[in-house]
Amino acid sequence: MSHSAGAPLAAVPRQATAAASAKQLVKTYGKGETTVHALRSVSVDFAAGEFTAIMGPSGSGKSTLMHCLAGLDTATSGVVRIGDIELTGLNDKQMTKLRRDRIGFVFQAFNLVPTLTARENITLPLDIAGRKVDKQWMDMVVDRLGLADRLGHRPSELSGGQVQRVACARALVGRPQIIFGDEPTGNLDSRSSGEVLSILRRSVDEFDQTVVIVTHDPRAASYADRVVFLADGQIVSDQRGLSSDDIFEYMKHLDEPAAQAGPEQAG
Amino acid sequence: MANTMRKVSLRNLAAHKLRLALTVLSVVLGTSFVAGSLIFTSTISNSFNGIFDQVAVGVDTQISPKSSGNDAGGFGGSETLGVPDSVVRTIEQDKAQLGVDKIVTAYSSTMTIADSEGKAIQTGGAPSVGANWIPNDRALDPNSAKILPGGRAPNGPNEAVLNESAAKKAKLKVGSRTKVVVNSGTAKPFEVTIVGLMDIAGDASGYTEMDFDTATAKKLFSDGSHVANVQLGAAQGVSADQLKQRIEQRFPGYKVQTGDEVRQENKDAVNSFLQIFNYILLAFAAIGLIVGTFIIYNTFSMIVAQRVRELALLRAIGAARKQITRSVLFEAFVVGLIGSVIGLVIGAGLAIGLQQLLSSTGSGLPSGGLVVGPTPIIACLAVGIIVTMVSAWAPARRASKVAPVEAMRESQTDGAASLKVRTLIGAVLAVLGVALLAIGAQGKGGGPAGQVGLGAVLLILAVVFAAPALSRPVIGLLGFVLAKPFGKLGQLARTNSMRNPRRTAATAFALTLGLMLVAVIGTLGSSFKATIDKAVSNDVKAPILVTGSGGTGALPPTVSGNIAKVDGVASVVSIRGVNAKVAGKDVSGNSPSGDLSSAANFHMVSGTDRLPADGLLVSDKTAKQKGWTLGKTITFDSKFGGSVPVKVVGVYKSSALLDPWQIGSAAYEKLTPPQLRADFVDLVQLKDGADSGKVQTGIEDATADFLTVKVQTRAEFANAQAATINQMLTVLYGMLGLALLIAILGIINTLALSVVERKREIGMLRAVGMLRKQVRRTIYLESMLISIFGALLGMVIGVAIGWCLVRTFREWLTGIQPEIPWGTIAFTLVAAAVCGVLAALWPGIRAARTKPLEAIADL
Ligand SMILES: Nc1ncnc2c1ncn2[C@@H]1O[C@H](COP(=O)(O)OP(=O)(O)O)[C@@H](O)[C@H]1O
Ligand SMILES: [Mg+2]
Repeated sequence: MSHSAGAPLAAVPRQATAAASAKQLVKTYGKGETTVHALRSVSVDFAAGEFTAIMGPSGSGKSTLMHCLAGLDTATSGVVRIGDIELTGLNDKQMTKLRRDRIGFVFQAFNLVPTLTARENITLPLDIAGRKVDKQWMDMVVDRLGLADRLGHRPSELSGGQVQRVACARALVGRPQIIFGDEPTGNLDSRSSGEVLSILRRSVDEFDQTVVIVTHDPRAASYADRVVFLADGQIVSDQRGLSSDDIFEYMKHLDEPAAQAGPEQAG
Repeated sequence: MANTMRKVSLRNLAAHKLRLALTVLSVVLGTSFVAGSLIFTSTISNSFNGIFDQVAVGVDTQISPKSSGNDAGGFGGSETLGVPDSVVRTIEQDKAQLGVDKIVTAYSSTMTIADSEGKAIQTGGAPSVGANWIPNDRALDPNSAKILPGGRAPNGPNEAVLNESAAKKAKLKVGSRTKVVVNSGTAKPFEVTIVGLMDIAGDASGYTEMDFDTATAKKLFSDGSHVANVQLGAAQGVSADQLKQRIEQRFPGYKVQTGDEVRQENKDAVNSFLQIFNYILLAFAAIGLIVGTFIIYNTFSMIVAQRVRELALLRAIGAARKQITRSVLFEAFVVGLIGSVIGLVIGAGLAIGLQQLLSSTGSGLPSGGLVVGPTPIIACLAVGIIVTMVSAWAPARRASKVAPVEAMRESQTDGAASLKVRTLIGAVLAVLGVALLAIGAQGKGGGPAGQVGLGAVLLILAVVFAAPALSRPVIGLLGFVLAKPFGKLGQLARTNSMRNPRRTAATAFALTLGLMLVAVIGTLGSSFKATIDKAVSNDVKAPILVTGSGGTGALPPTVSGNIAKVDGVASVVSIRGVNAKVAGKDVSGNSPSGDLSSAANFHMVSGTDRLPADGLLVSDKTAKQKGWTLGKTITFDSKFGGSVPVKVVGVYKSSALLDPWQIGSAAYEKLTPPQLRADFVDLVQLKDGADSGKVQTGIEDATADFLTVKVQTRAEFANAQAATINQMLTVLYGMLGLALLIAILGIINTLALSVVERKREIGMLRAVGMLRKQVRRTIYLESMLISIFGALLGMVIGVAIGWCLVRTFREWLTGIQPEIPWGTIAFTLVAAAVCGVLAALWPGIRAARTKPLEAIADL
C-alpha cells in the first residue's frame, strides 16, 4: 500500500481492515486534446472508526474520488474496496445493493424524497431493501439528532439544518460500513453546519462509525480525525489532528501554484 | 424580439423531439377521424351516386304506392299490395291522351336464393329481390339490363336469370338448379334453373336480383291484381314533368315521380344510410379530440413548468408577457399544424381501409376512387389547430405570469394554485347533474331520458373541474389498498401520483371519459339482456321457437305447416304482425294463429286469456292508453279495405314480449291480404315425453327448404336477441379502444415528462440503494394507480348514468330493470390497470436508467 509518488506524508497508522480503500485510482474524462485527468493514481485507506475530511481546491478531484469510493461512479483504472469487497467488476445491481447495505450518504442538496415524511425518509434504504428497522437504534439516533418531534414532517416543512440532520439519521440508521458526505454542510449556515458536523463526530466517537466527507470549509474539516488534501488529482498531504487554523493556512498555501511542487507539513 | 421569441419556440420544439412526437400524436388521433369520416362519406356517396345515375334511365314517370310511413311492428315486410291493375289498364286505354309512349309494369318482392351449396346467399345488408324480366325491346332503357352471351331470357315457372355479381358470389352458372323462396305470401320453396346471367346497370357487390318471366313473377310476387310499380316513357313532345303532372292529376293517392326524382330518392336513401357512418366516425373524432385536449393541455403545462427558469430569464431580459404567451401559443400552432397534416393523411388511409373492410365483408358498398374535397382538408386543419391552441391557452397564460425573479430562485415552485374555486364549481355541477339524473330516473320516456342526458353532460363537466381535488383522497385510498403489498415502492408510487393532482386528473381523464361510455353501454346492454332473458323465461311456455334469419326476419306462413308434421310436435302457434287503423290512426300489434295461452304466459288482470277468432286481448298499459277496456268493441279498419269489429275479452299485465295487443285469427285474415302475411315467430309445443333435441333437429330438416329458418330453444332465443344488442354495441366498444389508446399515449407522455422532472430525486433514490427494477416498479405502480383512478371514476359515473337511462326506457320496453354489468366493470378495471402498466413500460425504463450521480451533479 503506497501513496502516490511525490507526495511524502506523515506516517498514518495502518489498521488491518480498512473500511474503504483506493489503490492507484485513475479517472480521466474525455479523449485526446480535451482529456481531463480528474484523478492521477490516488491510493488511500480509510480506517474503520475514523472521521476523515477530503479537502482541496475546486476542481482538484475531491468529488470524483468520493464518487468512485462510494460506488456512484467507476474509475478508469485502479482498485476500490469497501471493506473486503472489490468494486471493480460489480454490475449495477450488485453495486446498488452494496450502496444500499454498506454505505450511507449525505449529499449537499436533494437528500430527501419530498413526498415522504422525515421518518419515512430515514427508513427509506432499509424499507427498499426489505430490512427490518432496529426500533431501539432508530429511536436512539433520532433522539441524539434532536429529530424526535420532527418525524412526521415533510422535507418542505423542515429547515435546511434539519433536512441535513434527517439525511444523517438516514445514513446512520442502517449502520453502514462507511458514511460518505459530499459537502454535507455546503448549503448551511455556520450554526446548523456545526450541528450536523458534531452529529457525524459523535457517531464516530460513540458508535464507532466510519465517516468520510468532502469539504472545502476548514472549520468543517477540523471536526475530522484526519484530513486528506487533494490538488490536481493527487494526494498532496494526509494529516491528523489539525486545527481549523492549520487547515486554513495549508489551504492558502495550496492555492499558491508554487506550493504544489512540494507541500510541507503545516502547523 | 418577436423573431427571437419565435426562434426560441422552434428550437424548443426541435430540442424535445419525443415530447413533440407524443403531443403531435394526440392531435393526430382526433384529426385523423375528422378527415377519415369526411373523406369516407364523400367517397362512398360519390360512388353510389355513380351507380344510381344508371338507375331508372329512360323513365319519365314512375307510379308507385304511397307508403303509410308506419313500419313499426310490421314484421310482414311490405305494407302495401302495390298499384292496382286498373291503373295500368286506364293508362293503356288513354295512352295517347296522356302522352304515354311505353308502359313497363314491375312485379317484385324480397326473396331468398340458395347458393350452389344450398345455403342462402348472404347479401350483407344489400337487397335480395325477385322481379319480372323485361325484354330489351320493351324496356324504357335498352341498356338497363342485358342477358350475357351464353344465356337466354327466362320462360315458364321454373326458369330464372340472376345478376352476374350475385351468381359469381353464389357459384351459380347457367344451367345450375337452385332453391328459392319468397319471404311472404303463400308460395312454397321451389327449384329454378338458371338460364342466363344478367348484366344490370350499376351492379353493386351484394345486391341480388333474380328475374322470372312476367307471368311467373306476377304469380309469385303479387296478389294477381296489383303491380309493384309502373314506369312510363313519354311520347314525343311530352316532357317528363308534363307527364308527371298529368298522371298525378289522373291518379291521386299514388307516388308519382320523374326519373330524376327516382334517382334522387335512391341517392338520398343511401346518403342518409351513410350519414350513420358519418356520425359514428365523427363521434370517434369528438372523443379523440376531447381526450386529446387534455393531453395537449397536460403537455404544455408540464413544458411551461419545466421552463420556468428559462421563461423567467426571458422576462428578466425584457420579454413582455404577451410575447411569452404568444411564444407558447406559437408552439401550439406548430404542433397543431403538424398533427392535422398527419391526421389528414392518416384519415385518408382510414377511409380507404374502411371502404375495403366494408366491401370485403360484402356489405354491398361500391368501391371507387378516393374523393378528397376541400371540406375534409379545411375541417381537419381548422379543428386540429384550434383544439391545440385552445388546449395550450391556459398553460400559455400561466407561462406569462412567471415572475422574472423565478430565474434566480433555487428550487422550483410547484405553482400549485388553490383548487378551491374549480372544486367548488365541480361540486355545484355534480349536485345539479346528480339531481337531474335522479329526477330523470323517476320518469320514463323521451323527456326524462333527455334529463338524464343533460345530467350526464353536467357530471362530465363536474369531473373536469373536481377530479383534481377528488384524486387525492381516492388515489390515497386506492394506493393504500393496492400498493400495500409493494411496501415502500407502493408508498412512493402512491405519493407520487398524488403529487400533482391537476396533472393526475388530466392524465386520467381520457380513461374516465372512455370508460364512462363503456359503463353506460354495458349497463344498457346487460339491462336489455336481463330483461329479455326474464321476459322469455316468464312469458314463453313453448320450449322451441322458430324464427326467420333473413333480412326482414320474417317467416313465410307456410313454414308452420311443415313444423306441425314433425314427430313430437304437439302444436304450433304462429305470431303474426298486424298493421291496421283504428279511428283513423295507425296501430300495430300481433295475432296468434292458435291458442296463444298454451304457448305463452298471460298474467291476466281481468277477463280470459282464451282468445276467440274475432276477439282481442290487450295489455293493461294499452287498455289505459287507448281506452280499450274489457268488454268494449273496437273497430279495426284494414288498410286494404273493409273493417272488422273485435271485442276485448281479456286484459293482461303488460310485458316486453306480449305488448301491446293480440287479435284473433279471423280478424287478422280480414285485415291482412294473403300476399302480405308472414310470421315473425312460431312457438312450438312438444308432445309429452318428446325429446327436445330430436324435435329441434326434426324441425330443422323439415324447414331446410325455406333457407332462412332458425330453430332455437328458449335460452338460445333469448341469447340471440341479446347478441343483436351486443352487435350494436360493438361500434361503441371501438370508441372505447380509441379512448384507451389515447389514454395510454397520455399516460406515456405524462410519465415520461414526470421522470425528467424527477431526475434528481430518482438519482438520489438510486444512490441510497434503489435497484433499477424497483425504480421501474414504482413507475408502473404510479401509472396503475392513475389509470385505476380514471377508470373507477368513469365506471361509477357511467353506471349511474346507464342505470338512470334504463329506468327511462320503461316507456318503450315494459319490465326493463337496470342491471349493473359487474363482469364488464371488473374486466374494464383490470384492463385499465394493464393499460396503465403498459403505458409505464417505456417511461419506467427511462427512469431506471437515471444515474445516481444525477442527483448530486450540478444542474
Ligand atoms: N462528468 C465530467 N466530465 C468531464 N469532466 C469532469 C466531469 N466531472 C468532473 N470533471 C472534471 O474533473 C475534475 C475534478 O472534478 P471534481 O471531482 O468535481 O472536483 P472537486 O469536487 O474537487 O471540485 C475537474 O477538472 C472537473 O472539471
Ligand atoms: Mg465537488
